[in-house]
Amino acid sequence: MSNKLDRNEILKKLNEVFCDVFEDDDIVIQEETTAEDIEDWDSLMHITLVITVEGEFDIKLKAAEVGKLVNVGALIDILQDRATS
Amino acid sequence: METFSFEDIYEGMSATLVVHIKEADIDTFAKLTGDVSPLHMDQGFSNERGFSGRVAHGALLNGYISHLCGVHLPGQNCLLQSIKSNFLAPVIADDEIEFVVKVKQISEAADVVIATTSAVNFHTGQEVMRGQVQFGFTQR
Repeated sequence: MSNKLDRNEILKKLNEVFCDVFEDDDIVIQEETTAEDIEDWDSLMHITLVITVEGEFDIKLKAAEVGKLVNVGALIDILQDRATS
Repeated sequence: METFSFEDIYEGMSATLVVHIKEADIDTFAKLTGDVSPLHMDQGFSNERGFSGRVAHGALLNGYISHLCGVHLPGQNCLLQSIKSNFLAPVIADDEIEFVVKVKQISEAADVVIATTSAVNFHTGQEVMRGQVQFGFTQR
């Protein structure tokens, strides 16, 4: 039996991933956060973010899914659906 | 020269390179980069600081990781995105070092591969460097 992760749990874990990837412990993300809100979030950092999220949550994302992401909340939607505790 | 594409890569895939680090290599790297610290260039100075000979530049060791990725795994399709290395022990001129790159994670969503890296003194077995490399592909 699999248990869905709580959105707040995912957000907290994602925040740690963001701090690690962007090497900035002061980053605080919210569901509405987008690439526009984080100065160093360029295309290369986006790639690093995707592969780090896959590793931390032990899931494989699809290129189409990643292309449609509008904000952190949309990523949480996918992770809540696919990642299990 | 290898020509692996993204689809050819699998977790656990690895490539190895054994390099004899010569004084001439340290000289060439110092000339290219301007890092002429006596730790690298002056045997007497390095001996005084407790090393048995001239210490190879850490960035020179990273160069061999670049060699492994750009020539062997994946080879000519490689687009190197990052190298992160921890230098665990000094590499001294005339040491023979075995470098290994091993695929740890593959992301189809990002067209990117992460591989662990390590370098071991071929004769003593001591690990001298450990880290990870991230690369994409110039052609899928």
